[in-house]
Amino acid sequence: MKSLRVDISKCTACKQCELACSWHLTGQFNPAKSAIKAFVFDAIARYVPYACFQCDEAWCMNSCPISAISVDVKTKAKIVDKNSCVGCKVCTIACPFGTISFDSVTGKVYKCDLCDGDPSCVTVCPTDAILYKDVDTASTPKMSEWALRLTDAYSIKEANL
Amino acid sequence: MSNSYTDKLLRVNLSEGTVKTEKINRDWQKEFIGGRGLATKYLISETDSKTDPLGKENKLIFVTGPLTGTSAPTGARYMVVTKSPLTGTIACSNSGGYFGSELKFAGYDMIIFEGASDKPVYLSIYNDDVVIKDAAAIWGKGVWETEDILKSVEGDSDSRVAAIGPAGENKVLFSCIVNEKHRAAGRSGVGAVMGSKKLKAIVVRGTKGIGVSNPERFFEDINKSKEILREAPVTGQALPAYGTAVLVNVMNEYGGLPSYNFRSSQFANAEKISGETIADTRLVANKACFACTIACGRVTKLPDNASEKYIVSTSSRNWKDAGGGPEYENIWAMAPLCGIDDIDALIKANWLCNDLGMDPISYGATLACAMELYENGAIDEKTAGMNLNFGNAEALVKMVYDTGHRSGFGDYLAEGSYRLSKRFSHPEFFMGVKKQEFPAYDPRAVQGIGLAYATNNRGADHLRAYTIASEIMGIPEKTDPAETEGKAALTKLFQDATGVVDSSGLCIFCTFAIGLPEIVPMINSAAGSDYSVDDALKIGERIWNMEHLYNLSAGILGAEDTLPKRILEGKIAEGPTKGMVNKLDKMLPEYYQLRGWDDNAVPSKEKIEELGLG
Amino acid sequence: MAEKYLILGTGASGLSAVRTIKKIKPSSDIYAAFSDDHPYSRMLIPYYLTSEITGEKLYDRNEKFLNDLGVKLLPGRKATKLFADTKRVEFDNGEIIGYDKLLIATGSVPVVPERWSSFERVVSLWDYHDVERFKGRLGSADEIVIIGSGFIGMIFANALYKIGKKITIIEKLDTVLPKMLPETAALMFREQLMNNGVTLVTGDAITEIDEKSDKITISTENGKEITGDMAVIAVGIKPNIDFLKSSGITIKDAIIVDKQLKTNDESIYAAGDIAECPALRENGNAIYPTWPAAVEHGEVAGSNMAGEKRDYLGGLLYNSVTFGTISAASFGRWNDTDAEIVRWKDPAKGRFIQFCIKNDIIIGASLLGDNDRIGIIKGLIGQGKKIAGDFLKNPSAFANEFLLSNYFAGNAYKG
Repeated sequence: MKSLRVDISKCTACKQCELACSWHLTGQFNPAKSAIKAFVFDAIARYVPYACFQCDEAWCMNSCPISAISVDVKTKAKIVDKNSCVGCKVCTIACPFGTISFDSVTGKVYKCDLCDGDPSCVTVCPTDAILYKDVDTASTPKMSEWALRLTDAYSIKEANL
Repeated sequence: MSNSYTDKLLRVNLSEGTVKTEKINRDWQKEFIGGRGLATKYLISETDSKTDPLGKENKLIFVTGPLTGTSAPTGARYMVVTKSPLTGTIACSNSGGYFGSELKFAGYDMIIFEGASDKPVYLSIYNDDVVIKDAAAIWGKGVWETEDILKSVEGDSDSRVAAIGPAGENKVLFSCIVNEKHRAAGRSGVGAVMGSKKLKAIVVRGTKGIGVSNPERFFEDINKSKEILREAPVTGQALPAYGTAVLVNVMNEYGGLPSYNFRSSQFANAEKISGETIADTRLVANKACFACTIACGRVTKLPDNASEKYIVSTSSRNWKDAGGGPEYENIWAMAPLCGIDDIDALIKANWLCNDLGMDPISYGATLACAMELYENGAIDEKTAGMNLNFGNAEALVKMVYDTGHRSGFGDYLAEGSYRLSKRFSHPEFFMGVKKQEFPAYDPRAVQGIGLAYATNNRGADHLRAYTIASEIMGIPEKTDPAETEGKAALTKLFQDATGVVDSSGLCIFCTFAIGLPEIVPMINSAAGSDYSVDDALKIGERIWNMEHLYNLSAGILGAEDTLPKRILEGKIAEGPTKGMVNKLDKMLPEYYQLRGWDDNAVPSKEKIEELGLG
Repeated sequence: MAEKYLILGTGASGLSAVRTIKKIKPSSDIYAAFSDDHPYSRMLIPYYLTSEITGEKLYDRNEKFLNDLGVKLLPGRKATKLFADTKRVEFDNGEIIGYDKLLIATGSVPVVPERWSSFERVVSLWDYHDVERFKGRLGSADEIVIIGSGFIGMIFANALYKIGKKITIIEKLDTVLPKMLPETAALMFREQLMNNGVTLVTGDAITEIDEKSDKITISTENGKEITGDMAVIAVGIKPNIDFLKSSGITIKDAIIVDKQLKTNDESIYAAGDIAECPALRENGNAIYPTWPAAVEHGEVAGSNMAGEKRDYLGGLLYNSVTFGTISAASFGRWNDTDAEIVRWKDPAKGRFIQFCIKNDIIIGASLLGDNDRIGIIKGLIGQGKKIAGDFLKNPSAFANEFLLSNYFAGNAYKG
């Protein structure tokens, strides 16, 4: 099973990932509506691409009262069914990683869907700071590994890993 | 039909305190693409060329291009167009970072500021919500603190801030406008114009989308460009590894790195401040501008033992934090040109320039001029307030502060080296054109760049026709830097092509790898236009002539298309380029001819008609 | 033989407990009893009220989910008595069902003063049937009075506003959403409500409701008379615990549970609105009657019931509510009077952010206006780490603080 991996030492904060993601999600360039965000920490010269970890027991999915969020069979991504979502925002406050947000224009929530197995953020990343790879010998940590070191409070398991 | 323009501009009258949204003039947009061309057209149409640059009648225009905010590689740029207080010519300064794209996402291609406010204000933009707000609390503060405060006041850490520092407020003639703390619309004193309007900052946040006209073709076009950028040695390797500072060693070895106010063309200790040294010892990250796949931006950190050195307290800055730069031009102006080889003093001076909002090229060059005046006895220690010998790193740092605040001798430096050298009776020490200081390439050693400096519409500057690409780097093809033949055509071609790049929203650095055959299709598929490469070059030529006509009408005539005596007659004394001078007279007449201008640089009627500038 | 699990209630915690038990013990034998005909999601009722979703949508996914997992559904059954010593539950149809492990997740019931409970035009909109009845009258009702401006009052005010009703809200306290917003924010919210044509009566309590054939008239303590076509009562809820009297289960305001959501009986767990559970990093227990908390409770209880020990992080009250385009959210102890308060507001944009910080740890927040990645605030409070960046200068940068405190605490320069 593949997952997003991040090497934050390579990220240049060029925001190509945000452009690609927003295009994928909205058909326009609009970083404010991107599911991935390259956070910028200028004082320590660190830039961190950050998106959904696709956790197994996903807070967003489990809290959705209308089961609008489901597991994609192929990628194990947690995907939002826009037709079902009523915009109640419960998922947005339930996910402690904040990786699902409400779009006031559509009245629905949006999150990373791994682009059906071909994440566009990975495709456009000019420095290979974001990778989509199988478990292998690569030293690049999974995006979720950052989360796993986050806190005992919200320990997460990645889908089928 | 959806395209990458927002088709809207904001007109902000600071005298009246009003904000209006207007439709962009579609005819002008088509004639000039956007960016530099479009804004210049607006400025020229709405202001008198003889207007006082720091008066109410001057306007200050922030503009983006059709590729700004798209995923076209390097599509980050915005330009500031106004009349320059330093040169009296048209000013168009260009900056990257995240500001330009954010302005597009807020729904605007352009902002026109007119009039002047009585009290300090800033403009707050959140999509359609545009408000002129009181800036009393941030007036006087450095750019960095201003940005932090505004992000916090506006309550959005994704807001982008373009601000002036004390230098702009004090109308330092080479003050700039800085966004994201380290990206600047640097040259020609655009910051002073902003300061004269009592406009401290613009804070913008946009959450609207930008479309492109033909997505399928657009992605094909940009992917091709990205691929070329990745494979090209300059954009794929040299710039990411060493930034623009890679040129320090290159130019020094060639003998084209001016030092000691152009008394020499090499710098003995260049290695100490080279891109390689910075990468090895001070660099902590590369930081890209928006959508840039090159990421030449340097982020450096001072070693712990240096952070307390030459302390100048201008803001709440923690000197242990990382910061932007230094870039090649800044390194050159503040180190070799001043005979300084202290890398940490250089980094600090560069940061201070950014914080105070000052062009480090003109600052460094003005200090170098002052050092020459000092060593010649034209300025004494009492006047300067300190020893201004070449090589004095402490002076470099201290004088940034004094210049930005116009305190003590800094008040003289704040006028730039043209006025400084005249004031102290040695106008021959001014190293520049049309009152603006040279950048970092010796025009004696590189002939074409001399012509480019001399004919530049905004005074001495490398960014309107970067012939160095051809003459030194061999891009797109190598020409002999010592040779004058062909340089008139090369300069004209580069000037016209650059006008296109500056109007598109791309960064000129992309042209180290791609050219108009790649750029024009990106513009077309984004903007929904159908320019050919020839059409685009014609637009570039139109822009160039429009700017030139503005300068002529402002009273800046062909006679000023020249170079200082030291460049034309003072042979390089040593090194590989020993004995060289710039042979401008061999190039200029041909250049005028190619331009369709007479001997006095006045465009022919036919040319004006051909370009639709009648 | 497989353990037999009995789940009372198929709301947020009941469902999430079932999911968790089945995940750990796929072959477990689960019975789910609920009082309605279908296991619907109460969160969706406002959307059913506005016809944004059909009646079927209220429950079809839940029903399919339970059926797919092989859960035996016991619809239309209301528990009437618990025999803890013999591990049996009696239902209102006389049926008695035994269990090995029991989850009580029967939620809350609205507080409706007895004297108005039989009124036709005064409803609580608590369950599906209430809404059904209400919808029947809605066509001819233009003016609706909402009594109570808490979370529930507000979601129904919003739903009815969306379908074009004229709304009046009566709140006993001085400000709206008193459990979610501090006064400043509440006043901003109030102003926006009024800008949207909502009539607000605050600091005034109802003394009487007079129901005529087609109108209601509400009298207040301050002597006001408010008329409308119908009234929605949303003055509060209480745990549905009456059937547990004399069961031996420890009850205060609700069922007292430990960190595993277990009651004083080894075999009995409680989750959701009905559980009074340990607070996050504080002494004492409290009730956390919100949907997402109920989901978490169900997971923890289900896990422990299935034999996989899991401690609940501790209760955290958090919620989000929207009226028109205005949204409010609150997390944890945003109004702790002993804590440092950091506040930012921009009334022109309708935005407000307040963080509550104790010993350099974020313990609560209250927000007005949309904020991307808002869930991170739950993460920040839950992790309980000391503040790492200069986020206090700019509280809107809460996401940056979360990343900073986790990715770079320690040595920032080591990748």
